[in-house]
Amino acid sequence: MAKKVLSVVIPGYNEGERIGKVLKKLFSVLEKNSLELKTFIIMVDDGSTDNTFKIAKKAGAIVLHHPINRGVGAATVTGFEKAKMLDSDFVITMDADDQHEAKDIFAVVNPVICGEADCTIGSRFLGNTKTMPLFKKIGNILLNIFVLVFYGWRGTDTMCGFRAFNRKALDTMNFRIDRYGYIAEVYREAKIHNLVLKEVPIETRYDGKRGTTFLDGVKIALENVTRGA
Amino acid sequence: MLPNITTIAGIIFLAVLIVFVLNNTRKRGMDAFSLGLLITSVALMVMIVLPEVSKQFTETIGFARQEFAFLSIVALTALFFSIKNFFKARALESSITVLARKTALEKEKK
Repeated sequence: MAKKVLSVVIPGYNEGERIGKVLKKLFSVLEKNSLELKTFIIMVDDGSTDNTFKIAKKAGAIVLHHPINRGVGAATVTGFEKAKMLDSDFVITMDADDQHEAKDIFAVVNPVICGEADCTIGSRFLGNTKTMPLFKKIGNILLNIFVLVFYGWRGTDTMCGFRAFNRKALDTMNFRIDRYGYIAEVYREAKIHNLVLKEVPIETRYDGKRGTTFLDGVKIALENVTRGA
Repeated sequence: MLPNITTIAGIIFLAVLIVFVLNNTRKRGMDAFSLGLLITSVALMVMIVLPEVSKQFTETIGFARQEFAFLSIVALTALFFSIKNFFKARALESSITVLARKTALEKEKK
């Protein structure tokens, strides 16, 4: 029987400092996987002006390069397109800024592989939140309320970029927002197409430079109101 | 009484404007902005050529002064212009993204 295919999509913009480390950890974790999956790592360089492309290529990932910066949503969809070309059965998205722990990959993808959900969302609130700054916690709560009001999904960490999708979700979801607002689109699409969502606990690292800001949160809400509805 | 030179110049300018707007509206299939521009031009022309008629008309439809009616039309036209450009810009952004995606995927294949 042919092995199932798992692709990890990592969109990144000017992440030259961190992308090498992220990919190294990811390759190491995927090599040890006991799921008997054929794996691919797709890095989408979203028009970076630094050496992100070179470093990712050197690390051995499949690297796609946007000639100009189009936003994390657009880069993720480009990664999805490539994953579809590779006949992926499951796709994971994670951030390029080394915020997520590569070891959590299997925790995130397992419910999708087992058929418990069409899409899983990592939740920093179900895991260890001690390292998360207070203002980020407040911002997340506000965005959780936004998602609950607009899309009816009661999640604890709706803006987390560490997610897994099965092929059905990948084929049916239609992401329209190029910038960060795409992160909330998954809830609208899940509602429209009756897809099952599930949250899984993950760990996150913060150093003050990573993650979304309060302003990003406002932008996400605005983009979804103007574009998503 | 014959109109003075400024009025004649104004009428010529408006006539040119109306021809320009009509040409554009035909090409664009009469969108809200073009229609607004056309109404603005006609309203301005009527205000210059037939001030009494326009005054009476604006009072009948509920405006205290004809200038208020004219400014309302201008404001609506400006609104249509903004909305139209917003959607135009968004469509352009989407095409750029599609192009960037296509380029990225094709380049990777090579």
